Amino acid sequence: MGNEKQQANRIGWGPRLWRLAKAAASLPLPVKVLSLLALGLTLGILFPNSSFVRAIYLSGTYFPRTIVTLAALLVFQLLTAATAKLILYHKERAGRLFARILALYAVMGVVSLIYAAGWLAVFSGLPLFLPDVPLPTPIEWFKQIGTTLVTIFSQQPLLQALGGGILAGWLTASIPALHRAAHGFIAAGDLILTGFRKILWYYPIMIGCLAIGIPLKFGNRGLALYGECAFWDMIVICAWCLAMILFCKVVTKRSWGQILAYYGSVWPTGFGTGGSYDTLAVNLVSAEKDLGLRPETAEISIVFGTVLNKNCATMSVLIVTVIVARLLSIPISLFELALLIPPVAILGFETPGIPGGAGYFMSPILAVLLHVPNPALWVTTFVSMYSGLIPMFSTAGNTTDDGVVGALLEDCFNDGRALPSEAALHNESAVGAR
Amino acid sequence: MTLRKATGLILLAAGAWALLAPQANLGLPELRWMARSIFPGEALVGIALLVVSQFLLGRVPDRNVAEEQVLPKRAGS
Repeated sequence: MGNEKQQANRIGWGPRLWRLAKAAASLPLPVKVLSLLALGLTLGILFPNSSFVRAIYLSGTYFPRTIVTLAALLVFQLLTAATAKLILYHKERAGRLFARILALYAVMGVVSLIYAAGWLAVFSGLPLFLPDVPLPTPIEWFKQIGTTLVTIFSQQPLLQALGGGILAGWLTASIPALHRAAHGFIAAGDLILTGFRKILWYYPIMIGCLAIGIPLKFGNRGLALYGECAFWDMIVICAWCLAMILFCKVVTKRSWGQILAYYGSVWPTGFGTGGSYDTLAVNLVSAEKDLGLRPETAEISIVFGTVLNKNCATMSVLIVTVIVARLLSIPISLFELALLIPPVAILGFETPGIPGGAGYFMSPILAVLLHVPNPALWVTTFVSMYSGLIPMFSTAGNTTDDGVVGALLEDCFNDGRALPSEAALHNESAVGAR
Repeated sequence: MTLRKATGLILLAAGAWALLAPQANLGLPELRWMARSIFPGEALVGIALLVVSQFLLGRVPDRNVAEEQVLPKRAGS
């Protein structure tokens, strides 16, 4: 016994630290993110004047800034690849069925954003329009929206990449002579997503570094706003999920037992993993076993939803936008928020499923749309705010919505047409995996 | 390397540059020099160049080979 203790004492600090680091690396991603978020906030509060702590914070800003530099290229490649993949692999195989499911997700995305904007009107106390700006007539209002969108699309490279990506994906996949280009874009898109998966280990570290900046730059006000943001997000997403449960019960043929068993297994898994792809297996099994969907319906709705549906993430993006605008004293009204709904809904379809991915990809575009004076500060603040509990609530909502769409598809929109083969669906799941 | 591939790679680099440069002012301070020589509509030119480059570089995969490569093995199978 004594010898064992002596032997243990002989182990140096190096191996001990190595073992500790290995144990920490094996923790689940949400645990790592939350722990490093807390550590970063604590360091920022305790050592606001330390040059070392400031250097750690600075190191964390490099990755989001690099993403901002590369954003137009990445958005274009990913959106072109996603659009081309959708048309090449699914249009001919399932025709109307896939059009329906795509339409269901698109409608749900827009409804979610209008719903979130409604909550924000209640929570945030934002004015309908900014002061000193005269109220427009309805015609002027539509003209203003049109002019803003035309100006933005004609002058902003990120939004040109957004529109160009959809157009290029559609053209290259629809015209057989251009299929070479479509496959080139798909291969490039898969390469980018593989790269993202490979650097996932850095995400918690970056969040920890950026979290230092919240108390460092914004003091207790920044901390209070993060807490407020997470609280709003929790209320908005939980209320949405309750509404979806009721909607599922009223509109589809599912029983209370089926719906609650499905939500009981998938919601906590989505919340715990914080990533749609990590929840895919549980979601598929539970949609069949608990919700009682046919395997082919479950596979379509869950696989498609995992790839495309980020409706709760877009709701969170809208909430974080209001909080970050408040933190950086950027004037924003409900009118500006309404203008954000169409681009955010589109961006929701191409956001990569990495934790916090919505923050990386949408924040530079939001900075452009809101005419933010310091976009780099906006992006780093946005990414650090869109972390911790917020992506966890978003994933829980996104994943369970996929099952509801499956039930809706099976009970309300099934006209008896043949469903695509299982192989085709697995093909999609592998090709579209992020 | 074939002429087609070389042309594709050159166009890919030019297209990537044209898409990155207009946005460079907002990102890494070390890369802001890229935005010194931008022109209106540069991003759209970049998009066109990327489409052409992917046309030259991409290839339509053989269907059977492609499905074999992407089909994951199911649990228990």
